[in-house]
Amino acid sequence: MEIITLETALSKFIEENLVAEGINIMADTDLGALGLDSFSLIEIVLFLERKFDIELPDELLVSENVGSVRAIAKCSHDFVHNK
Amino acid sequence: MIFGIGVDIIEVERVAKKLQNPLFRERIFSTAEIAYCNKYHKAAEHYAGRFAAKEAFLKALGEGWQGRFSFADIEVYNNEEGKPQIRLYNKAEEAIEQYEIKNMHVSISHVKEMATAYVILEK
Repeated sequence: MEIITLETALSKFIEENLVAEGINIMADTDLGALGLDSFSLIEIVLFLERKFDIELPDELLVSENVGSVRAIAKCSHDFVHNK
Repeated sequence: MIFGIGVDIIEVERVAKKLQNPLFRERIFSTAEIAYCNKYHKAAEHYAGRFAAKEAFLKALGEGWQGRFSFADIEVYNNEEGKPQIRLYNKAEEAIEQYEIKNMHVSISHVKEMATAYVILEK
């Protein structure tokens, strides 16, 4: 699984489901600044499980891993390849 | 003395949509919570209320969902009088011991559209 694939899918999912219409999510967009709450984070985690079969453990869901699409994608990629 | 207070509110519909995904239920709720909520015709309101209580607990503790413990480790149950209570497991239980929390109070309310919960932690 390429990081860019994860980034693209995550950005699209967030744009379509979690933020107001017209907001573009770039890889380094600060998700916290957009007002995404913890339920949104749960939705992102469930999306990764459903779409990519990546089950991120709770202990990886620290702020440094979930602050942006790039961070989530890298965390997911590393998790899969270090299993 | 009061250690912290926390309040949360969430749209029932938002939770209802996710309940169709068993991964959501299992990741967020304990087996006992799932059994309790599923007893009700309007189960989503009860799930939403319990989710709000977990969030409110984290806020009262002064933490977000930062991977320190799982939502499923924060369990809401009703005592013999029907009053909601919080029971903790694993790292959530350790956190309470670390902060020397002696009492936990929770109140939950929900209507068709919204669910809210309030938590007070005492040292």
